[in-house]
Amino acid sequence: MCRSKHHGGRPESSLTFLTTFLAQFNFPRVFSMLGLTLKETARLLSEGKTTAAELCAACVARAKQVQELNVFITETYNTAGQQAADSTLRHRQGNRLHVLDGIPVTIKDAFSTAGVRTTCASRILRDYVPPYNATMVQRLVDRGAVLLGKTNMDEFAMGALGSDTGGSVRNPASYCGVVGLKPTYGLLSRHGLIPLVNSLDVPGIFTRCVDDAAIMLGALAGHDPKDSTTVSDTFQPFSLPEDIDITRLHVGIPKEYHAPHLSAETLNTWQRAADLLEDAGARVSQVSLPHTPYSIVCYSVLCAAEVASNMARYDGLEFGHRGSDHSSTEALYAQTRHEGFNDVVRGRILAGNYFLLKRHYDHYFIQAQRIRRLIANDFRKVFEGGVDILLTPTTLSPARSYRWFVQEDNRTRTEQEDVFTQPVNLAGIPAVNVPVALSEDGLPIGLQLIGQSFQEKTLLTVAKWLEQQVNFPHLQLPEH
Amino acid sequence: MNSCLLFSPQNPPQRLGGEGGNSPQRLGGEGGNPPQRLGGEELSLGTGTGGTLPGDWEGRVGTLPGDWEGRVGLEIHAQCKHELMSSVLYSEPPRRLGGEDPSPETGRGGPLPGDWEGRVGLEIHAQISSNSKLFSGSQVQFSAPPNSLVSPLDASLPGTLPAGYQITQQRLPLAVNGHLTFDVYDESRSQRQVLKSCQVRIKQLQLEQDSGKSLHDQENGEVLVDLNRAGVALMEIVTEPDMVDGAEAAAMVKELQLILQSLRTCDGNMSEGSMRVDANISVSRSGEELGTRAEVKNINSAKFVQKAIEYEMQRQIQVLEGAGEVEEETRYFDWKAGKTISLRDKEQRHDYRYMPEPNLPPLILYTDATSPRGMEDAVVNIDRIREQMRELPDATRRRLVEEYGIQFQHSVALVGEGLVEYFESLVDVKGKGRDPRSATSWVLTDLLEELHKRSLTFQECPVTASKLGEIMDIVAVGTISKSTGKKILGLQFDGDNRSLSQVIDEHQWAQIRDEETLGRICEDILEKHPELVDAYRKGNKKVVNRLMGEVQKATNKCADPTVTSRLLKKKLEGH
Repeated sequence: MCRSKHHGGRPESSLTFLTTFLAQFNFPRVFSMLGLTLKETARLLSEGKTTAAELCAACVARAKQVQELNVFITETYNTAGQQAADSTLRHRQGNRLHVLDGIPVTIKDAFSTAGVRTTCASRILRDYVPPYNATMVQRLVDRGAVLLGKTNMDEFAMGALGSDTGGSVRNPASYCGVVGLKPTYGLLSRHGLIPLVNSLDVPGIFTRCVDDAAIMLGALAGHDPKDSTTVSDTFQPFSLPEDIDITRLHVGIPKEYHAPHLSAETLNTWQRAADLLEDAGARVSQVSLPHTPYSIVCYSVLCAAEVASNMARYDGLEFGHRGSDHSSTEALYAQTRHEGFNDVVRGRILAGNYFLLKRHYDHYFIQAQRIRRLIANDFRKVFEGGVDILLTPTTLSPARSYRWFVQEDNRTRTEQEDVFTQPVNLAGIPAVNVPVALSEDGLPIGLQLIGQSFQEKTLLTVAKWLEQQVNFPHLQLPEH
Repeated sequence: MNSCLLFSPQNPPQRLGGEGGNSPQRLGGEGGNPPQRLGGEELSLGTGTGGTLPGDWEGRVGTLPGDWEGRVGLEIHAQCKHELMSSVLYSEPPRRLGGEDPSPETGRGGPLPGDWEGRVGLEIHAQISSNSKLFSGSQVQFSAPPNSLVSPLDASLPGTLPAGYQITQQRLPLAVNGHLTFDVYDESRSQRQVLKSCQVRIKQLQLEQDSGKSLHDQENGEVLVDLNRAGVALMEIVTEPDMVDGAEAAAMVKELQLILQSLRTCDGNMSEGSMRVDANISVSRSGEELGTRAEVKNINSAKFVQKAIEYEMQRQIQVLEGAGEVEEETRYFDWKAGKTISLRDKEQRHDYRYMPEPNLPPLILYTDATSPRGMEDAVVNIDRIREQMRELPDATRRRLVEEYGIQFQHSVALVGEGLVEYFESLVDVKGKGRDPRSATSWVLTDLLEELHKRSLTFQECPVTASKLGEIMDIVAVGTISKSTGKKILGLQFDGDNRSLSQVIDEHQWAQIRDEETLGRICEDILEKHPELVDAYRKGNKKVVNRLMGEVQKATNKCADPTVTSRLLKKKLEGH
């Protein structure tokens, strides 16, 4: 991964949805238009100071410049151009659909896009073209957003990049110095999101500032008849106040999050943020989430079980990789699946089927469900005790080197990297990464705020307050 | 989504059993916890996944008779596809077990030889009458073009075959511990005599999804997949092995079919696969433990249920008497050969690796007492459903006897043939009631005869109850004779839409009741048959009938039999 260059200065915009890595790179002057917040860009569009077409062209040019980074699995520049042209026309005629009309977005390759290849970065789906849009995609399209392409990910999101199953929005957001919001389970539709772990998967939002996350949430949240796990209550989009009073806020610092491998710099950042809150009049107290240490093992079992079930549908017959062993139907399936899935996926399928065997079900699956309940109860008790928000690190340390990354196996990486984020998924509650500081090496350090179910407004308000205080040194486009 | 999914391996794939090898999985029987008895009134299920939240998925749930209580919990059954497929494939001709198979004739019912006793338990898959599938909005329709009724969910996109698992209620079925009482009738006679009354325990009733259908074309080495049926809602009804022979099992299936049809939860059309029966069959010597059972799958008529069971019991007895062992296996019933044939699937004890379905929030069933205020229309209330439940067949049978004074076997026949509504609209006419006994006779004898003659089902009956009622009325007042009435019914079946008076006028079918006219005709006949008159006077009173016949012949069967008979007798005596 490329190192980003951060400078002090005003917060800049993010025009991206879900994973984007564009934020990582230096923007030459021609792209300075990209250096505005979503809100500011939307204003320029509505005032006619720029057009969706210009904006789209700038994004495409920038994306082409950083092509070597393999950001996109599938680029949709042509349709993006058409969508931008349509949006430009709408703006001209005064028929803007939404604040997102004309805003370029990228979508993780786990979301189904009608007529656009969707692979989950897996060989087993290498040429799959869905006949329908995921609800999240449809809502963006309906609001006039311009889809630039499908972004890269770990196979079936089994790493740390993307829709948030165990931290895959908050972790990369933390490493990249952007805002990453994992909403409450059930607030955003999973229809058309190719499932990894249905009971944990949540579509997540990447933006460069907290206000933009609120805008995206407003555009995306709400009941979807096609996903019966979405809540039926109507979602009221909200904007965040500028002047935020936190004097009546009670912030909890979970003691179990002082994890063994927590880096000194991250610990220090966490401490400073807690001090900031306390100094501003918030009540900050230590709380306990005693079952936190069991989170990873619980996650491993539940994740493997659901993966084993979810992956049963991939047979390579209609699309994707197909093996060559035609001696029998079973042999063909076996070979196709062996070759189609990587070792991490295969490992989870095998483990999941093991956990679900009748003779193991109680020992593993039921036990993991119980632990999940205990972890959820930990959070519930803390919130019932009067705590409004929890403040924790997002990751153990700033982004690791590629060498470190490939050294460890997936399980170890997960254990270390998702330790602060996974319990939140198990409990279904919302959390957001807020970029707070830079390390000595100039790498972003993020902190995680955890809120109560469906209290995204409180969560993001506090996040915005923190963002205002830390004045995080965002990306600065170099002048050429 | 209108494509026919297919693939072509280089080697021909294995052949598929039966009618598309449907529902390859046993979802109910094996494994898992025994069903629990329900304690409270509010029945909720937590999947135990902390993240699940109340949603609004709608159950399209059939209603249950009697004091069933409901509880819903859906489970995913996670199974790798190749295993799923293997259970429906077979490639070899059936092997013989324990010597020669008995000939089909040996399985002709009747008592088992010696001290052998049979046991039968049934698993019945009944397709729930619903316009859409269980979890998708796709339409449900029999014999639609392949893959024309498939949503992305049904195809489990981005998979090809449905998910690789089916959603079922293995651990928390909709209802448990029920029972069904039914009578076994002597079907060989038109009068349906009750041979015996039976009760069978029903272990559970659960919802599940139907599977897709794959056809293996050996010639072209292709497998064709039709997903129209994938995701269609089924209820699986599992009985305890409480039946002793094919006749009991067939009677149970028929009674259940009537119940489901009465409730309108399943059309019960077995030939279209709306109801499919799997029978678990075993034999043992009197007083011994139950024998090893074989399962005969996908039997698609009550008659075949009986035949398959009778054959299978005889086969098992022959195997055991030949010192062989009955294998625990899956068989199918070849109705042409009248035999059950092994599917050769080794009957592995499948471990289906169930887990709760995370995409379905719990569905909570309420009663009047627990129903949340202001939400009455949004929740499933068992008491409301019970109130709306239609009359069950057994209640109908008893009511018909009580209300109309008809014979019990007639009410059995009316219910069995689905003629109750027709019968009642015939009898219950505003202002005037028609004679129920006469109506039974018209419906059960004459109407059915016309239907059978034309191989029509009752649904296709062209003559409405009100039309038949008109015929009944003019027969009752004597305008025409009963036999003329039957002729007119026949004409109406053939599409004659004219008014009754037109038909009667044209054919001069009006009954002759005028004594003067009839008297003249009778005189005529007596003159032509002096030998009969002689015989009568010598004491052979029966010849009146022959004379009556002659009168009818002469009048084109229009002479009023009562008047004629009286006149003839008078004239014979009078001379």
